[in-house]
Amino acid sequence: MRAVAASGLSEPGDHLPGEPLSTESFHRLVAGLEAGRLQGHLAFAVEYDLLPVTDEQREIVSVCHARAMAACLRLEELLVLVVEEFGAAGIDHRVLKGSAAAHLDYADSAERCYGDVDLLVRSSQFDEAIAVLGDLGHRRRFPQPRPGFDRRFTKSVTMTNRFGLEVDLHRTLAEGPFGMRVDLARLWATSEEFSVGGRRLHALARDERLLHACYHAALGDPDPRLVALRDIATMLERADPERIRRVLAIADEWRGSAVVARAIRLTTERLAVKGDALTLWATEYVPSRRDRLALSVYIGSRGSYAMRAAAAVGAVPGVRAKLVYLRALVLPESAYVRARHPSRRARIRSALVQGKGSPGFRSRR
Amino acid sequence: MRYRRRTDALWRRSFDCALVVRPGDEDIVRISGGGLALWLALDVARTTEELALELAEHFERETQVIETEIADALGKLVRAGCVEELS
Repeated sequence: MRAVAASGLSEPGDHLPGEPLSTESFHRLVAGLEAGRLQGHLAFAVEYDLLPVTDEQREIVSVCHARAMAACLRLEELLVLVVEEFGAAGIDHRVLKGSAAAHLDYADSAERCYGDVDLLVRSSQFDEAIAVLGDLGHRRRFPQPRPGFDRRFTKSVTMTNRFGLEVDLHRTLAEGPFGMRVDLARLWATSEEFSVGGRRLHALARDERLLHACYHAALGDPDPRLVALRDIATMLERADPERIRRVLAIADEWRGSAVVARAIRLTTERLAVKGDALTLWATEYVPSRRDRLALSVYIGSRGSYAMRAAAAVGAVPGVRAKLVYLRALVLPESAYVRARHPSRRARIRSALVQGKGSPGFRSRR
Repeated sequence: MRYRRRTDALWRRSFDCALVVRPGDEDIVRISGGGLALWLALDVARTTEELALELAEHFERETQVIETEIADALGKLVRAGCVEELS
């Protein structure tokens, strides 16, 4: 799978097989790539004869890719609609992740598949943006813990329409402490434009887009998805040393160098791509104890929403804001508790279970 | 008359076909075979003659022969809502 994910990169580490796979192996490969949203890379590998296939296998890939592209087109239709409505309401936007990467970072947008719409909106316009999506028929799964929490502290809210199409509305680039450290003003200071369906859309500027790709890969899932790592590899291939220097400088400003280092290491290891000076930097980077603790709430068995939420307290600026944040977490409104847990007691129990074993948790036994 | 892809149409290429979504339409139009080359050539507004000149070389066919086929294909794409006519 990783050889397919890396196909098209200038120096992929793994080699694709020299002969068509057996039927069973091929079906397993396709299923795995579909689950990982890597149909675009599979199609690329087959179309450019990097992956030998039988005629029947080529047909399977063709059908699989067409299905993925049809889904992306429906999401793009939704994206255009949402951005239009946001524009009418005076709400600024930045397109994030899949759609932006497909149009701006890949030579052919058909190479990058995605499963939802991701949009960044300003904190001050977050509640309004949710209301606009609500008017378009999207519903959020959970309410915010207390009024005002989303626009001040939340990372993102997922809103789904009756067709199952998701819009992830982002306020910052990550949950927890690293998300709190992101300089949001910087995200809005610049942008890169692209056109979809005759509409001008705005994505993050190139440097911030690479940073977001690193944050997403390093912090978004306990086991980073290959598609996220491939985005990083693709962007790095187009980055000159000056751009890399700027990206690392921004990461340093955000106190997120440990995040970028982890993302680069994962990209090099998991995609088996050839290392370079940046890989060397990432490999040799030693995070501070504080950053190691911060990373631990995102990774492996210690990672959990509750732990990230608790760890973010230290990064919330100002005593008053910290108190507001803590109050929302400790005493959320009933609607929030009911939506997430059978009772307040169950919620506390869940939080304690998630916290057990964390570096900052001490058992009273 | 010039022809061009509708600017509000969303599309992706997938192997030897193009998948096109027209705003507000539930159906996805699939353009394949020779239609794909025509679709790709419609990134800017062109007349039938201009398209025929370009695609005749691509398909190694006579310009006059292919122009009729192109006109026919354009008519279908216009009726399907994928291509717009510009005077």
